Amino acid sequence: MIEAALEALTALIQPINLLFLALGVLVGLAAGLIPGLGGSVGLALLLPLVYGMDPVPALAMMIGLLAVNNTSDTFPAVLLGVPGSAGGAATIMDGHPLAKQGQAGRALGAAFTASMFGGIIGAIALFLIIPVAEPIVLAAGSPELFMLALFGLSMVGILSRGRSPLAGILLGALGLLLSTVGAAPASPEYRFTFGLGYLIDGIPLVIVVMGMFAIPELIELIRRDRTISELGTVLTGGRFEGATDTFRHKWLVLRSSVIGMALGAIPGVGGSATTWIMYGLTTQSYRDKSKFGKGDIRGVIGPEAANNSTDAGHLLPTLLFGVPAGASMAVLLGGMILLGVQPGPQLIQNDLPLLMTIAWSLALANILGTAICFLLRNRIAKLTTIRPGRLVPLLMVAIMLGAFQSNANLGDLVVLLIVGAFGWGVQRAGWSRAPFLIGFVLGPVTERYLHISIDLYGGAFVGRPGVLIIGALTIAILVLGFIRPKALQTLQEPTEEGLEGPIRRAVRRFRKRFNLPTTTSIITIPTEDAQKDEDAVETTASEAKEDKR
Amino acid sequence: MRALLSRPKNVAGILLTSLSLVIFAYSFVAAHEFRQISQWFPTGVAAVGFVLALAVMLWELGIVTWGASESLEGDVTENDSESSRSPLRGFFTYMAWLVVLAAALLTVGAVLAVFVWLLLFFRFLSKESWIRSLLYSVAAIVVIAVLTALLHLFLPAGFLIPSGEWIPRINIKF
Repeated sequence: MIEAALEALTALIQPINLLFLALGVLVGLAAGLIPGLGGSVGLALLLPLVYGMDPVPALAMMIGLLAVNNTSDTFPAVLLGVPGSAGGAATIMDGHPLAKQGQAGRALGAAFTASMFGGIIGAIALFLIIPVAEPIVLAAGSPELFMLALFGLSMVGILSRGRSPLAGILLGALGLLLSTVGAAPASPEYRFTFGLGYLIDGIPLVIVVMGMFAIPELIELIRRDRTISELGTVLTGGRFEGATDTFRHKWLVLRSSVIGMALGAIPGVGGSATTWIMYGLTTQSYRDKSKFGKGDIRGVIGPEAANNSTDAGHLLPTLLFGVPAGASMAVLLGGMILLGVQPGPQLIQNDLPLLMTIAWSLALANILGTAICFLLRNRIAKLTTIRPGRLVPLLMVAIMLGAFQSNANLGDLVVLLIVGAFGWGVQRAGWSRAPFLIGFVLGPVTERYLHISIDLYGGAFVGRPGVLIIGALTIAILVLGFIRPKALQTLQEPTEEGLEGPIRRAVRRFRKRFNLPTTTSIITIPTEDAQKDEDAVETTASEAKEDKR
Repeated sequence: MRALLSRPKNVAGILLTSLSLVIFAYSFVAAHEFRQISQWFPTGVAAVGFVLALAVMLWELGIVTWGASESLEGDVTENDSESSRSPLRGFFTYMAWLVVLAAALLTVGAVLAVFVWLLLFFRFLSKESWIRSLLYSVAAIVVIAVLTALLHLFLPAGFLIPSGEWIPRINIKF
């Protein structure tokens, strides 16, 4: 194990691999900063580039993107009260009031440091869990893996955002069905190709990812065409004070990171749920709760540490069992399949150094991301002033050209537009798009394991203890989804769709639950000239006026 | 009944569910033409999916309400005001622009299509000045050229003006 870890580190520190890691980190920071983009869309944009690449730099780039996505989303959360992604929502509670008190630098410094340690602790836990999990993973046969795929699908369907849990499972089934297009795995024939040569190899994953996630988000972004911030942001000192705060609350960081990682390992429980839970736990675990919600640095440190360690938790089921823990992990899984790397027991058995590369990439990306945020905080904060009208056309071109990389065929562009329209419809319906993608990614694996299970054991495979246990868990989750919808609501991904509405709803609900101040406000960050003006605060009323305008 | 009819409907949800019903029904029937070993999976998924779609349809129509995690009313009132004002119009506008880009890519090739499309998009949709639009478009072409040369990307070569080979390949193995 140690040899594999060292081998992985040696491979990763090659300059070209570090370069790709840095590229992923930069794209991840930018994606985390802009509400609506986030990890899934950012990764979808990078996916066409990984064709034909060596797995080490490609994985470094993808993990680099995902690892820091939750670091940069702190900027809009603290400065403007608008989270860049789902995971940043809980940081608003205390980060934004701190900014209003002129301590934005301190809040950001604490958030970055806590994020970095959260990510590193998550990566260390990943290193430690792999050898422990190895025998369990290798003991799982095809029937258990088949059941795990169904379990992951039902879990994500139930827990992901959407008005009806059934709609999530329905979309998962549609994804599974779409994955059957093309050559059948068990017999020499083609299914659902309608005589079109383009469909013989099935629908490319890259196109499904970009169509379902990127196109609807970009259309929503440009349709609203609002910058996150109107004014340029200049952050003065305080960041090292924030870093010191994090060291002072080291046990909070450790506890948040461990809990974040554990919750992240449950498929369907996203970063948003984890950070809210961690914020709740943080507020409840101190005697003096009076400052929470008004600018308590512990309210920033707890959620931020959990936020970044969640990624390591997400990676566990994704890498060890091939069951993606959420939408971004489904995209990562797809990227790995494009690289010829099949997550699951084979990865542990045949390619342990590659698994270790992922853990190292996670740790290094967190350090690099935090360093960039510390050094370039003013420049990064300025990105919040970019109009979507300038950014979106460029991303649209990137998507179209990226889709063309799949088969270099006219069909790529046509299918992209069809899936994009479907994805937009799903978004408008208020359904979660993650189950569709997860169904599509898991479809071939599920069918393959089903065939192998039937070949090896016949119908008796359903009587295996592992299958029965996972089957019982799956049924329990499905039942729970219907009898306890209100409880599950707290575990939903409110911003997977990238809209502000659900986040604000969640913030309001949380404030009400913990009797915290109920005003949601947007701060206008003072420019250097207007630094003295401490009252440059716009309240909900002015925000509403702007909305109306 | 009156309450059912007066309840705000999730039109997108109903349309999607109807589409799902058609897809699952068709797949269930069409899958029977495959060899037995290849029809298990799609048939099973289509059957389960059809039942699920029926259940979702009942839910979306407001006939049953189990498993409802949030009320429809809540979503409608709390949605971003601008995005719920004219969603279809905006969607069709931008989808039309994407269709035009796809058509342009296939007729005049990537370089020319992207340049002209970006120029027009920046100028008329993003309301940038001509000079800024030109600068952004040129910058985008330069970035595409560099990425294509480094990563050996495929660029669509148009029927009318093949442009895919305008950019020399730089052989660096990553």
